[in-house]
Amino acid sequence: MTKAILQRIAEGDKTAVQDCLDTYGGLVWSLARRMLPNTDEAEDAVQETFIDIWKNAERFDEKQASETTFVAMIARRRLIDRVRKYQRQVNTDSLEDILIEPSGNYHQSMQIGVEAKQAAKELDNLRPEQRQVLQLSIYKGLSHQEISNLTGMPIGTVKTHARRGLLQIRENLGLKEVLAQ
Amino acid sequence: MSSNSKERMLDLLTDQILFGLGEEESAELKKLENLFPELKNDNSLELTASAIGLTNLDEIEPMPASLRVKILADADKYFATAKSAKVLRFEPQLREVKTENIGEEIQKTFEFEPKRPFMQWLGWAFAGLACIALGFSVWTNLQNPKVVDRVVEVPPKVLPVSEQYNQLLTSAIDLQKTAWVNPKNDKEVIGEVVWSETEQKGFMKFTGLAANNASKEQYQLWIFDETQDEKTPIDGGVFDVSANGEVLIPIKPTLKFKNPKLFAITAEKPGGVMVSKREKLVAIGKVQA
Repeated sequence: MTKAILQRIAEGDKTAVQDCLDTYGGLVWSLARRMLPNTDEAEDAVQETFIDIWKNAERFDEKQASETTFVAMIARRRLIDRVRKYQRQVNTDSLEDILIEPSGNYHQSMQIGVEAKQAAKELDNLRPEQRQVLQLSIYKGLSHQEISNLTGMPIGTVKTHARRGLLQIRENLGLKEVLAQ
Repeated sequence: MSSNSKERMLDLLTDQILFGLGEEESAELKKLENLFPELKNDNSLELTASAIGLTNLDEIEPMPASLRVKILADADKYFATAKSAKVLRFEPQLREVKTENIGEEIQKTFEFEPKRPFMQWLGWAFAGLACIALGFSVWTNLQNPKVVDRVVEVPPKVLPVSEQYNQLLTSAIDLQKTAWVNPKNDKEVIGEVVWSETEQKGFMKFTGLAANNASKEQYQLWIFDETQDEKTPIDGGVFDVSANGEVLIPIKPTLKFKNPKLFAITAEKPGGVMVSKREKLVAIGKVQA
């Protein structure tokens, strides 16, 4: 059976680095370009992300999630830090001008991993308010206060929608049952 | 009590993943982690959020070659450090020296070892045999190459922007073309924006848009969609114009849109803005109904 790229990296197989970049370089770069405001920020974040990937490779458990989702999780940690820093510089008075009802840009034919395809379907099955809160948080990196300002929902409601939506999708993706480590 | 604490911990974990935690909440989470260590190691919520994050991608853009080179250099450094750290951790096997024999040990350390010509010869003989065996193995493999069973995903070949543009022109069944005009008419900006809703792809073509200094300002595209309030256009991303000739730029909106009625270009601070004051409107393209 073919070994996962991350497993090979964890074992110190340097040839796996090339394979990792071939397979996930575009994905991490695209996530960074999507979330960060400029190319320099994106390049720095992608460099940091790949170092994090080498460091965390041994934590990957193929029974829990696909390699793509695991790599996306490592990337998200780096990207969300930068997004939050960037957004703290934005004048919050102008938040009402941010787009109110974003929707996913996912393309069904894209190779984004098993869970992501399923997540796209599950996102559509959520209540509109839950979907909206999750998208504003995950796609745009907005805080609950910012989402509250933007949508007019009380902060408590924003949190409740976020939590219920996320738990529902986790449940339906089957990620809960295999979490024990 | 336990159930409430667990609920609270789930709340905090969700908040941490989606919104980030303040200092107080982080401290509270740390305390709760001691009560529920199984949740501490649970990254299923984070994986779920990451899977949702992936649904916001509409295309996989290839990583720039220069960035790949930097990452490979990082990998060299990382693996060299990791390897040496491993060597330091596992390889030194300190020999236990009994203090009563310390003099003898020192004596052994400095003892002159006589040459052993026969053993040396034997060593070289083995090395020679090993070389012959290696050469034979290489020759055999060249004659009968093995099929490598490892499958490496090859990223799809990415076409240059001009070819992507031509491909869209020929393949899209719902291509919209909108001409650019300069709102102030003080300088002529010629060109068009083309967009396919079904493919969620498009390009901006310009002639006459002044080259910008990217460290001072960048151009930013805004998409006014039929379904959106005019105050809340979609951010179409920032771009630079390095020459005054014809420029072709792919459109990378941050959100999906359906029926664009107007495209606008503004000049903004580097990196772009989330909300434009629209002080420097350099071009607009109104979609004909």
